[in-house]
Amino acid sequence: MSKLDILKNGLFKENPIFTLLLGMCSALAITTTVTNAIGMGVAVTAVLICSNIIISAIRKIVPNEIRIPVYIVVIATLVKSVQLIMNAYTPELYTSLGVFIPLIVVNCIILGRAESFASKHGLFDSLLDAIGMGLGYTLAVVVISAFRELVGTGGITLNNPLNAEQVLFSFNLFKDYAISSFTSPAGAFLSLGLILGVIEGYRNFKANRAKKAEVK
Amino acid sequence: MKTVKLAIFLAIVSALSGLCLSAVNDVTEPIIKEAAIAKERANLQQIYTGGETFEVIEADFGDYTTLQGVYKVSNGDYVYKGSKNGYGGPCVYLVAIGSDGTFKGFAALDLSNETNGFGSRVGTDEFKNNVVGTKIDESIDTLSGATVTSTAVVDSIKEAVAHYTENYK
Repeated sequence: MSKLDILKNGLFKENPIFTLLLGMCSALAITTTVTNAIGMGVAVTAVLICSNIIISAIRKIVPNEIRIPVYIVVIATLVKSVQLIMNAYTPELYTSLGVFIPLIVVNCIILGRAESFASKHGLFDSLLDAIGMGLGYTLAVVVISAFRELVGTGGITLNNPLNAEQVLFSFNLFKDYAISSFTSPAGAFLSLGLILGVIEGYRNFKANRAKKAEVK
Repeated sequence: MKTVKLAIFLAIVSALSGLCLSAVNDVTEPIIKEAAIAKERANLQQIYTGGETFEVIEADFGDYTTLQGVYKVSNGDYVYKGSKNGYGGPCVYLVAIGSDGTFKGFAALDLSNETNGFGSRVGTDEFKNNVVGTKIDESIDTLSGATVTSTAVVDSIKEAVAHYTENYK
């Protein structure tokens, strides 16, 4: 696999949310606004990059029997650090993401990549994998949250995460026709289902076309 | 022997993780504390004008449902923030309790739901003078004409005194 393939792998082909269906819990819960989704995406990516690098670096000295507890300790340390830093520098984001920041510890994307990739590959490849997967996760939650916020409130508002009162950009298309249930938890499942359906439909369409081309 | 080795390895990893966390905590703790106090600072400075510093205290108020927060002042006083429904809605105030057992200060923060000229008098010096200087185990006089509002605030101050006596005296 070339370096570029490793990077692209997480973004599209093995997108953690849309294809591997990992880390659904946070993806359903925090995708109420685009601002939240970007904040969560950055936090997960940061933890993923650090954990992949550290685990890849120590993969040869960690005894096989206790590798999972060691990974968990490494990941928990990183998540707690991210939590403290977010509490200090982005208090509003910290409040709105709430319990889902500490829950990054048990986000299966991170342990999954540690176990299936970083523990078997070199430092640089692991870094690329983490960036790809992290961006893939961010892309997925941003897509879901953009859909939910657009349908649920009729527009999208993006706040500066460092200062919640500062609005970076905001537009409103059809406020009167917004379906507010899309911002509720049930709307999260509906949105995810619809988006997964569209993606799967597109994949099938492409596969069928390839098949037809072969027959000819 | 193998097990002991594994245990030692895990212990070393955990110790390193603890070290990292304490380093991060050292950097972020003052900022987090600063942010927690920042919103209240302007209010606290209504009582303390001499450049005192404040610190948020994590407290469990339990049954004292009208209390919202407690702050420690650099001179040893404690300031309570409380809110209790008066005539028209919540009355939010700060009350300072000194280490000598008297009230050091009082500031009404939100009396916007109280009737102008009646309940709103709790926000004037008239009521403040009733509070400041009183010993905390003595009762504070309510204001006639603003009975509902001042009684609500006095009741809530009693809870602050009870919490103070239990925890910080």
